[in-house]
Amino acid sequence: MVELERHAVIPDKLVEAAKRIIEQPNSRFITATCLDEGLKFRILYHFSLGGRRVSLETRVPKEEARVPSISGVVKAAAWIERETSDLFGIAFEWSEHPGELIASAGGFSERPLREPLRSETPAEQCAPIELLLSSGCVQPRTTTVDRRREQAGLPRLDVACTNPKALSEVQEICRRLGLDERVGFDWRTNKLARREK
Amino acid sequence: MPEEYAAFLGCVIPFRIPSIEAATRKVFDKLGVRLRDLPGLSCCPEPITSRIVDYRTYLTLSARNLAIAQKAGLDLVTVCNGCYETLVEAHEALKDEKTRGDVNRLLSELGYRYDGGVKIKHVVEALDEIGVDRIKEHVSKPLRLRAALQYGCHLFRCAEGDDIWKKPNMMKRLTAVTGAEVVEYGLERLCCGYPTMTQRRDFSLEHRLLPKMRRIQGAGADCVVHVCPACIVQFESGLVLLRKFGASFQLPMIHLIELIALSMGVTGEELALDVHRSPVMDLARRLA
Repeated sequence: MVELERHAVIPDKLVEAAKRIIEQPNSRFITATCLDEGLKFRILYHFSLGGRRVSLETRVPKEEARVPSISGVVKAAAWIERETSDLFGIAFEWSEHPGELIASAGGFSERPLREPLRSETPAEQCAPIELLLSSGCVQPRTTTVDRRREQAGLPRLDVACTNPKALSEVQEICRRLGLDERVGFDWRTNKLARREK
Repeated sequence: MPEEYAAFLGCVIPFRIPSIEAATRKVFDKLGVRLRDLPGLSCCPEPITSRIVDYRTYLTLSARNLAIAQKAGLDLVTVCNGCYETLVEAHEALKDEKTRGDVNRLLSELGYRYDGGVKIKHVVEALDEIGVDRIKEHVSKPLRLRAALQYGCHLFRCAEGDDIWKKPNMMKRLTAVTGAEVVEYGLERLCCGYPTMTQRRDFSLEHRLLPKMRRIQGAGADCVVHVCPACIVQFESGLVLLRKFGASFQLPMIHLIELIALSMGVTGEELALDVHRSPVMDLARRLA
Protein backbone atom coordinates (compact mmCIF):
# COMPACT_ATOMS: atom_id res chain seq x y z
CA MET A 1 0.00 0.00 0.00
CA VAL A 2 1.26 3.47 -0.86
CA GLU A 3 2.04 5.63 2.13
CA LEU A 4 0.31 9.01 2.07
CA GLU A 5 1.59 12.12 3.77
CA ARG A 6 0.02 15.53 3.82
CA HIS A 7 1.78 18.68 5.00
CA ALA A 8 -0.07 21.95 5.55
CA VAL A 9 1.94 25.02 4.59
CA ILE A 10 1.08 28.70 4.51
CA PRO A 11 1.07 30.16 0.98
CA ASP A 12 4.30 32.11 1.62
CA LYS A 13 6.20 28.89 2.37
CA LEU A 14 4.74 26.84 -0.48
CA VAL A 15 7.52 27.36 -3.04
CA GLU A 16 10.25 26.64 -0.50
CA ALA A 17 8.48 23.43 0.59
CA ALA A 18 8.00 22.27 -3.03
CA LYS A 19 11.67 22.95 -3.74
CA ARG A 20 12.74 20.86 -0.74
CA ILE A 21 10.71 17.89 -2.02
CA ILE A 22 11.63 18.07 -5.69
CA GLU A 23 15.36 18.35 -4.95
CA GLN A 24 15.37 15.01 -3.17
CA PRO A 25 16.36 11.83 -5.03
CA ASN A 26 13.55 9.74 -6.54
CA SER A 27 11.05 12.56 -6.46
CA ARG A 28 8.62 13.70 -9.10
CA PHE A 29 5.59 15.95 -9.33
CA ILE A 30 2.32 14.14 -9.98
CA THR A 31 -0.44 16.75 -10.17
CA ALA A 32 -2.34 19.37 -8.20
CA THR A 33 -5.95 19.42 -7.05
CA CYS A 34 -8.15 22.20 -5.85
CA LEU A 35 -11.20 22.12 -3.57
CA ASP A 36 -13.74 24.91 -3.21
CA GLU A 37 -14.54 24.97 0.53
CA GLY A 38 -17.03 27.80 0.44
CA LEU A 39 -14.95 30.56 1.96
CA LYS A 40 -11.50 29.25 0.99
CA PHE A 41 -9.75 27.28 -1.72
CA ARG A 42 -7.71 24.30 -0.61
CA ILE A 43 -4.92 23.58 -3.12
CA LEU A 44 -2.93 20.37 -2.92
CA TYR A 45 0.30 19.63 -4.80
CA HIS A 46 0.96 15.90 -4.98
CA PHE A 47 4.45 14.41 -5.29
CA SER A 48 5.92 10.96 -5.45
CA LEU A 49 8.93 10.68 -3.19
CA GLY A 50 10.77 7.36 -2.97
CA GLY A 51 7.54 5.35 -3.26
CA ARG A 52 5.59 7.60 -0.88
CA ARG A 53 2.87 10.03 -1.87
CA VAL A 54 3.54 13.45 -0.34
CA SER A 55 1.09 16.30 -0.67
CA LEU A 56 1.57 19.94 0.16
CA GLU A 57 -1.64 21.63 1.13
CA THR A 58 -2.30 25.33 1.30
CA ARG A 59 -5.50 27.32 1.81
CA VAL A 60 -6.30 30.81 0.57
CA PRO A 61 -9.38 33.01 1.06
CA LYS A 62 -11.59 32.92 -2.02
CA GLU A 63 -12.03 36.67 -1.96
CA GLU A 64 -8.31 36.98 -2.54
CA ALA A 65 -7.54 33.70 -4.34
CA ARG A 66 -3.85 34.44 -4.89
CA VAL A 67 -1.21 31.69 -4.54
CA PRO A 68 2.52 31.67 -5.28
CA SER A 69 3.26 29.46 -8.29
CA ILE A 70 5.61 26.55 -7.74
CA SER A 71 6.31 26.34 -11.50
CA GLY A 72 9.57 28.23 -11.02
CA VAL A 73 10.97 25.26 -9.05
CA VAL A 74 8.70 22.50 -10.42
CA LYS A 75 8.27 23.16 -14.13
CA ALA A 76 5.76 20.33 -14.57
CA ALA A 77 3.32 22.15 -12.31
CA ALA A 78 2.78 24.96 -14.81
CA TRP A 79 0.04 23.22 -16.83
CA ILE A 80 -2.08 22.13 -13.89
CA GLU A 81 -1.74 25.56 -12.32
CA ARG A 82 -2.98 27.11 -15.56
CA GLU A 83 -5.88 24.69 -15.72
CA THR A 84 -6.74 25.35 -12.06
CA SER A 85 -6.59 29.07 -12.76
CA ASP A 86 -8.96 28.69 -15.73
CA LEU A 87 -11.45 26.55 -13.81
CA PHE A 88 -11.44 28.25 -10.39
CA GLY A 89 -10.18 31.76 -11.11
CA ILE A 90 -7.19 31.45 -8.80
CA ALA A 91 -4.36 33.88 -9.52
CA PHE A 92 -1.09 31.96 -9.42
CA GLU A 93 1.85 34.30 -9.10
CA TRP A 94 3.82 33.33 -12.19
CA SER A 95 6.96 35.31 -13.00
CA GLU A 96 5.47 35.74 -16.45
CA HIS A 97 1.79 35.03 -17.14
CA PRO A 98 1.68 31.98 -19.43
CA GLY A 99 -1.87 32.68 -20.61
CA GLU A 100 -5.01 30.58 -20.42
CA LEU A 101 -4.72 26.88 -21.04
CA ILE A 102 -8.23 25.61 -21.68
CA ALA A 103 -10.59 28.52 -21.11
CA SER A 104 -10.13 30.18 -24.49
CA ALA A 105 -10.02 26.84 -26.32
CA GLY A 106 -13.12 25.70 -24.46
CA GLY A 107 -14.87 28.96 -25.18
CA PHE A 108 -15.68 29.92 -21.58
CA SER A 109 -14.79 33.10 -19.81
CA GLU A 110 -16.50 32.32 -16.47
CA ARG A 111 -14.77 30.04 -13.95
CA PRO A 112 -16.93 26.91 -14.17
CA LEU A 113 -15.78 25.19 -10.95
CA ARG A 114 -15.80 28.31 -8.78
CA GLU A 115 -18.85 28.40 -6.53
CA PRO A 116 -20.23 31.50 -4.81
CA LEU A 117 -18.79 32.36 -1.39
CA ARG A 118 -20.75 30.47 1.21
CA SER A 119 -20.31 30.04 4.91
CA GLU A 120 -21.86 27.68 7.42
CA THR A 121 -22.66 30.76 9.50
CA PRO A 122 -26.33 31.66 9.01
CA ALA A 123 -26.50 34.98 7.13
CA GLU A 124 -28.47 36.63 9.92
CA GLN A 125 -25.75 35.78 12.46
CA CYS A 126 -22.91 37.29 10.43
CA ALA A 127 -23.15 40.84 11.77
CA PRO A 128 -23.05 39.96 15.49
CA ILE A 129 -20.29 37.40 14.97
CA GLU A 130 -18.21 39.91 13.02
CA LEU A 131 -18.66 42.45 15.83
CA LEU A 132 -17.81 39.86 18.49
CA LEU A 133 -14.58 38.90 16.73
CA SER A 134 -13.53 42.42 15.83
CA SER A 135 -14.48 44.25 19.03
CA GLY A 136 -15.47 41.73 21.71
CA CYS A 137 -18.85 43.43 21.88
CA VAL A 138 -21.95 42.81 19.72
CA GLN A 139 -23.19 46.38 19.77
CA PRO A 140 -21.25 48.88 17.63
CA ARG A 141 -20.09 52.02 19.44
CA THR A 142 -21.23 55.29 17.94
CA THR A 143 -20.15 58.85 18.65
CA THR A 144 -23.79 59.75 19.37
CA VAL A 145 -24.02 57.21 22.18
CA ASP A 146 -20.57 58.18 23.48
CA ARG A 147 -21.86 61.77 23.66
CA ARG A 148 -25.01 60.70 25.49
CA ARG A 149 -22.89 58.71 27.93
CA GLU A 150 -20.92 61.84 28.68
CA GLN A 151 -24.12 63.89 29.07
CA ALA A 152 -25.43 61.35 31.57
CA GLY A 153 -22.12 61.52 33.47
CA LEU A 154 -21.36 57.85 32.81
CA PRO A 155 -17.80 56.59 33.28
CA ARG A 156 -15.58 55.36 30.47
CA LEU A 157 -16.05 51.62 30.54
CA ASP A 158 -13.13 49.25 30.74
CA VAL A 159 -14.49 46.46 28.53
CA ALA A 160 -13.25 44.46 25.55
CA CYS A 161 -14.16 47.11 22.97
CA THR A 162 -12.22 49.79 24.88
CA ASN A 163 -9.46 47.68 26.47
CA PRO A 164 -6.94 46.24 23.97
CA LYS A 165 -5.67 43.57 26.39
CA ALA A 166 -9.19 42.26 27.03
CA LEU A 167 -9.94 42.30 23.31
CA SER A 168 -6.78 40.37 22.49
CA GLU A 169 -7.78 37.71 25.06
CA VAL A 170 -11.26 37.40 23.53
CA GLN A 171 -9.73 37.13 20.07
CA GLU A 172 -7.19 34.57 21.24
CA ILE A 173 -10.00 32.37 22.60
CA CYS A 174 -11.88 32.66 19.28
CA ARG A 175 -8.69 31.86 17.36
CA ARG A 176 -7.72 28.90 19.53
CA LEU A 177 -11.18 27.38 19.25
CA GLY A 178 -11.22 27.91 15.50
CA LEU A 179 -14.22 30.26 15.42
CA ASP A 180 -12.40 32.56 13.00
CA GLU A 181 -11.80 29.69 10.57
CA ARG A 182 -15.36 28.38 10.83
CA VAL A 183 -16.99 31.69 10.08
CA GLY A 184 -14.36 32.92 7.60
CA PHE A 185 -13.08 35.90 9.60
CA ASP A 186 -10.24 37.82 8.01
CA TRP A 187 -7.98 39.27 10.73
CA ARG A 188 -6.38 41.76 8.33
CA THR A 189 -9.66 43.47 7.45
CA ASN A 190 -11.49 42.56 10.70
CA LYS A 191 -14.40 41.38 8.58
CA LEU A 192 -16.19 38.19 7.65
CA ALA A 193 -16.09 36.86 4.14
CA ARG A 194 -19.65 37.54 3.04
CA ARG A 195 -21.88 35.17 1.18
CA GLU A 196 -22.41 36.09 -2.42
CA LYS A 197 -26.03 36.70 -3.29
CA MET B 1 -28.06 41.12 51.66
CA PRO B 2 -24.83 42.12 49.86
CA GLU B 3 -23.84 45.76 50.20
CA GLU B 4 -21.86 45.53 46.98
CA TYR B 5 -22.44 43.82 43.65
CA ALA B 6 -20.32 43.48 40.54
CA ALA B 7 -22.05 45.02 37.51
CA PHE B 8 -22.42 43.14 34.26
CA LEU B 9 -23.81 45.72 31.83
CA GLY B 10 -23.38 43.78 28.57
CA CYS B 11 -23.22 45.53 25.19
CA VAL B 12 -26.66 46.88 24.28
CA ILE B 13 -27.13 48.86 27.48
CA PRO B 14 -23.88 50.85 27.56
CA PHE B 15 -23.57 51.29 23.81
CA ARG B 16 -27.18 51.64 22.65
CA ILE B 17 -29.45 52.53 25.58
CA PRO B 18 -27.06 54.04 28.16
CA SER B 19 -29.97 55.63 30.03
CA ILE B 20 -30.53 52.17 31.56
CA GLU B 21 -26.94 52.17 32.83
CA ALA B 22 -27.36 55.70 34.19
CA ALA B 23 -30.56 54.67 36.00
CA THR B 24 -28.90 51.53 37.41
CA ARG B 25 -26.01 53.53 38.85
CA LYS B 26 -28.31 56.17 40.33
CA VAL B 27 -30.77 53.70 41.86
CA PHE B 28 -28.05 51.59 43.49
CA ASP B 29 -26.35 54.75 44.70
CA LYS B 30 -29.57 56.02 46.29
CA LEU B 31 -30.10 52.64 47.94
CA GLY B 32 -26.59 52.79 49.39
CA VAL B 33 -25.50 49.63 47.59
CA ARG B 34 -22.19 49.75 45.76
CA LEU B 35 -21.99 48.62 42.14
CA ARG B 36 -18.44 47.77 41.12
CA ASP B 37 -17.31 47.88 37.49
CA LEU B 38 -15.06 44.94 36.69
CA PRO B 39 -12.22 45.61 34.26
CA GLY B 40 -11.87 43.66 31.03
CA LEU B 41 -15.33 42.10 30.65
CA SER B 42 -16.47 41.23 27.14
CA CYS B 43 -19.79 40.48 25.49
CA CYS B 44 -21.54 37.84 27.65
CA PRO B 45 -21.57 36.52 24.69
CA GLU B 46 -24.97 37.12 23.09
CA PRO B 47 -27.07 34.03 23.92
CA ILE B 48 -28.58 33.06 20.58
CA THR B 49 -25.91 33.74 17.97
CA SER B 50 -22.90 32.53 19.90
CA ARG B 51 -24.49 29.23 20.88
CA ILE B 52 -25.70 28.53 17.36
CA VAL B 53 -22.39 29.32 15.75
CA ASP B 54 -19.91 27.79 18.18
CA TYR B 55 -20.88 26.41 21.58
CA ARG B 56 -17.31 26.02 22.88
CA THR B 57 -16.47 29.63 22.11
CA TYR B 58 -19.70 30.72 23.84
CA LEU B 59 -18.83 28.70 26.93
CA THR B 60 -15.21 29.84 27.12
CA LEU B 61 -15.95 33.54 26.64
CA SER B 62 -18.67 33.29 29.24
CA ALA B 63 -16.34 31.47 31.64
CA ARG B 64 -13.75 34.21 31.17
CA ASN B 65 -16.32 36.79 32.30
CA LEU B 66 -17.34 34.61 35.24
CA ALA B 67 -13.68 34.12 36.20
CA ILE B 68 -13.23 37.91 36.36
CA ALA B 69 -16.28 38.15 38.65
CA GLN B 70 -15.03 35.25 40.77
CA LYS B 71 -11.75 37.07 41.34
CA ALA B 72 -13.67 40.09 42.63
CA GLY B 73 -15.54 37.84 45.08
CA LEU B 74 -18.87 39.53 44.40
CA ASP B 75 -22.30 38.47 43.18
CA LEU B 76 -22.77 39.49 39.59
CA VAL B 77 -25.82 41.55 38.72
CA THR B 78 -27.10 41.87 35.14
CA VAL B 79 -29.64 44.41 33.91
CA CYS B 80 -30.22 42.46 30.69
CA ASN B 81 -32.23 39.25 30.22
CA GLY B 82 -29.86 38.07 27.48
CA CYS B 83 -26.72 38.44 29.61
CA TYR B 84 -28.55 36.75 32.47
CA GLU B 85 -29.49 33.79 30.26
CA THR B 86 -25.97 33.42 28.86
CA LEU B 87 -24.14 33.60 32.17
CA VAL B 88 -26.57 31.38 34.09
CA GLU B 89 -26.56 28.73 31.36
CA ALA B 90 -22.76 28.79 31.17
CA HIS B 91 -22.48 28.60 34.95
CA GLU B 92 -24.77 25.55 34.91
CA ALA B 93 -22.83 23.86 32.09
CA LEU B 94 -19.56 24.51 33.92
CA LYS B 95 -20.75 22.55 36.93
CA ASP B 96 -19.72 19.49 34.93
CA GLU B 97 -16.14 18.75 35.94
CA LYS B 98 -14.93 17.62 32.53
CA THR B 99 -16.48 20.60 30.74
CA ARG B 100 -15.00 22.99 33.31
CA GLY B 101 -11.60 21.29 33.00
CA ASP B 102 -11.59 21.68 29.22
CA VAL B 103 -12.55 25.34 29.44
CA ASN B 104 -10.06 26.07 32.24
CA ARG B 105 -7.19 24.52 30.27
CA LEU B 106 -7.51 27.27 27.68
CA LEU B 107 -8.40 29.99 30.20
CA SER B 108 -5.37 29.18 32.37
CA GLU B 109 -3.07 30.13 29.50
CA LEU B 110 -4.62 33.59 29.67
CA GLY B 111 -4.36 33.74 33.46
CA TYR B 112 -7.99 32.85 34.33
CA ARG B 113 -9.74 30.02 36.06
CA TYR B 114 -13.41 29.50 36.86
CA ASP B 115 -14.36 27.25 39.77
CA GLY B 116 -18.10 27.78 39.66
CA GLY B 117 -18.36 30.12 42.63
CA VAL B 118 -20.22 33.10 41.19
CA LYS B 119 -23.86 33.89 41.96
CA ILE B 120 -25.50 35.51 38.95
CA LYS B 121 -28.48 37.69 39.70
CA HIS B 122 -30.89 39.46 37.44
CA VAL B 123 -31.43 43.04 38.58
CA VAL B 124 -34.98 42.15 39.73
CA GLU B 125 -33.48 39.52 42.05
CA ALA B 126 -30.87 41.94 43.36
CA LEU B 127 -33.51 44.64 43.99
CA ASP B 128 -35.84 42.13 45.62
CA GLU B 129 -32.94 41.07 47.83
CA ILE B 130 -32.20 44.69 48.74
CA GLY B 131 -35.86 44.88 49.68
CA VAL B 132 -39.05 46.45 48.44
CA ASP B 133 -39.39 48.34 51.73
CA ARG B 134 -35.92 49.84 51.41
CA ILE B 135 -36.73 50.95 47.86
CA LYS B 136 -40.05 52.37 49.00
CA GLU B 137 -38.23 54.63 51.47
CA HIS B 138 -36.50 56.30 48.53
CA VAL B 139 -39.58 56.75 46.33
CA SER B 140 -40.07 60.51 46.50
CA LYS B 141 -42.29 60.92 43.43
CA PRO B 142 -44.81 58.10 43.21
CA LEU B 143 -45.73 57.60 39.58
CA ARG B 144 -49.34 57.87 38.57
CA LEU B 145 -49.52 55.71 35.49
CA ARG B 146 -50.77 52.40 34.21
CA ALA B 147 -47.95 50.06 33.28
CA ALA B 148 -48.09 46.96 31.09
CA LEU B 149 -45.22 44.56 31.80
CA GLN B 150 -43.03 42.86 29.24
CA TYR B 151 -41.13 40.24 31.21
CA GLY B 152 -39.10 38.86 28.32
CA CYS B 153 -38.69 35.12 27.75
CA HIS B 154 -35.40 34.69 29.62
CA LEU B 155 -36.86 36.06 32.85
CA PHE B 156 -38.84 32.82 33.10
CA ARG B 157 -35.66 30.73 33.12
CA CYS B 158 -35.19 29.09 36.50
CA ALA B 159 -33.55 26.16 38.19
CA GLU B 160 -35.19 22.74 37.93
CA GLY B 161 -38.25 22.62 40.18
CA ASP B 162 -38.17 26.35 40.93
CA ASP B 163 -41.16 28.64 40.35
CA ILE B 164 -40.97 30.14 36.85
CA TRP B 165 -43.04 33.11 38.03
CA LYS B 166 -40.61 33.97 40.83
CA LYS B 167 -38.66 36.64 38.91
CA PRO B 168 -41.67 37.95 36.92
CA ASN B 169 -43.53 38.39 40.24
CA MET B 170 -40.54 40.28 41.60
CA MET B 171 -40.75 42.56 38.56
CA LYS B 172 -44.44 43.09 39.22
CA ARG B 173 -43.81 44.03 42.87
CA LEU B 174 -40.96 46.35 41.93
CA THR B 175 -43.11 48.13 39.34
CA ALA B 176 -45.85 48.59 41.91
CA VAL B 177 -43.43 50.08 44.43
CA THR B 178 -42.94 53.09 42.10
CA GLY B 179 -46.65 53.87 42.48
CA ALA B 180 -47.50 52.56 39.00
CA GLU B 181 -50.58 50.41 38.55
CA VAL B 182 -49.75 47.16 36.78
CA VAL B 183 -52.30 46.36 34.06
CA GLU B 184 -52.76 42.81 32.82
CA TYR B 185 -53.21 42.28 29.09
CA GLY B 186 -53.15 38.50 28.79
CA LEU B 187 -50.22 38.08 26.40
CA GLU B 188 -47.42 38.72 28.86
CA ARG B 189 -45.73 35.40 28.09
CA LEU B 190 -45.75 35.77 24.31
CA CYS B 191 -42.27 36.44 22.90
CA CYS B 192 -41.83 39.98 21.52
CA GLY B 193 -40.43 38.50 18.29
CA TYR B 194 -36.88 39.85 18.62
CA PRO B 195 -35.08 36.53 17.99
CA THR B 196 -36.95 35.89 14.74
CA MET B 197 -36.67 39.45 13.38
CA THR B 198 -33.65 38.68 11.21
CA GLN B 199 -35.09 35.48 9.76
CA ARG B 200 -38.81 36.19 9.43
CA ARG B 201 -39.43 39.86 9.97
CA ASP B 202 -43.08 39.90 8.91
CA PHE B 203 -43.95 36.88 11.05
CA SER B 204 -42.14 38.44 13.98
CA LEU B 205 -44.01 41.72 13.62
CA GLU B 206 -47.45 40.46 12.66
CA HIS B 207 -47.69 37.39 14.88
CA ARG B 208 -45.67 38.42 17.90
CA LEU B 209 -45.40 42.16 18.38
CA LEU B 210 -48.67 43.29 16.83
CA PRO B 211 -51.01 41.13 18.97
CA LYS B 212 -49.12 42.18 22.07
CA MET B 213 -49.31 45.86 21.23
CA ARG B 214 -53.04 45.67 20.42
CA ARG B 215 -53.75 44.04 23.78
CA ILE B 216 -51.50 46.50 25.64
CA GLN B 217 -53.23 49.44 24.03
CA GLY B 218 -56.62 47.87 24.72
CA ALA B 219 -55.71 47.49 28.40
CA GLY B 220 -55.23 51.26 28.60
CA ALA B 221 -51.54 51.19 29.51
CA ASP B 222 -49.58 54.45 29.56
CA CYS B 223 -46.27 52.68 28.99
CA VAL B 224 -44.65 49.28 28.68
CA VAL B 225 -42.13 48.36 31.37
CA HIS B 226 -39.26 46.06 30.35
CA VAL B 227 -36.28 44.32 31.92
CA CYS B 228 -34.68 43.25 28.65
CA PRO B 229 -32.94 45.70 26.30
CA ALA B 230 -33.53 43.40 23.32
CA CYS B 231 -37.29 43.59 23.95
CA ILE B 232 -36.99 47.38 24.14
CA VAL B 233 -35.17 47.44 20.79
CA GLN B 234 -37.87 45.22 19.27
CA PHE B 235 -40.79 47.23 20.64
CA GLU B 236 -39.23 50.59 19.75
CA SER B 237 -38.38 49.53 16.19
CA GLY B 238 -41.83 47.97 15.98
CA LEU B 239 -43.53 51.29 16.66
CA VAL B 240 -42.30 52.34 13.22
CA LEU B 241 -42.35 48.99 11.42
CA LEU B 242 -45.89 48.08 12.46
CA ARG B 243 -47.27 50.93 10.35
CA LYS B 244 -46.92 48.51 7.47
CA PHE B 245 -49.75 46.51 9.07
CA GLY B 246 -51.90 49.60 9.46
CA ALA B 247 -51.13 49.92 13.17
CA SER B 248 -49.92 53.03 14.93
CA PHE B 249 -48.73 53.07 18.53
CA GLN B 250 -47.01 55.77 20.53
CA LEU B 251 -46.33 54.10 23.86
CA PRO B 252 -43.12 54.74 25.82
CA MET B 253 -40.91 51.65 26.30
CA ILE B 254 -39.14 52.04 29.60
CA HIS B 255 -36.80 49.77 31.55
CA LEU B 256 -37.91 48.95 35.10
CA ILE B 257 -34.74 50.48 36.56
CA GLU B 258 -35.44 53.74 34.68
CA LEU B 259 -38.97 53.73 36.09
CA ILE B 260 -37.61 53.23 39.61
CA ALA B 261 -35.09 56.07 39.07
CA LEU B 262 -37.91 58.42 38.00
CA SER B 263 -39.90 57.49 41.10
CA MET B 264 -36.84 58.39 43.18
CA GLY B 265 -36.85 61.88 41.74
CA VAL B 266 -34.15 61.47 39.09
CA THR B 267 -35.07 63.52 36.01
CA GLY B 268 -35.32 62.28 32.44
CA GLU B 269 -32.52 64.67 31.49
CA GLU B 270 -30.19 63.23 34.13
CA LEU B 271 -30.78 59.79 32.65
CA ALA B 272 -30.49 61.00 29.02
CA LEU B 273 -33.81 59.27 28.31
CA ASP B 274 -33.89 60.77 24.84
CA VAL B 275 -31.68 57.87 23.66
CA HIS B 276 -34.92 55.90 23.49
CA ARG B 277 -36.75 55.72 20.16
CA SER B 278 -40.10 55.82 21.91
CA PRO B 279 -41.47 58.82 23.85
CA VAL B 280 -39.87 57.90 27.20
CA MET B 281 -38.54 61.43 27.75
CA ASP B 282 -42.05 62.83 27.16
CA LEU B 283 -43.37 60.41 29.76
CA ALA B 284 -40.69 61.50 32.26
CA ARG B 285 -41.52 65.18 31.70
CA ARG B 286 -45.22 64.51 32.08
CA LEU B 287 -44.63 62.68 35.34
CA ALA B 288 -42.35 65.42 36.66
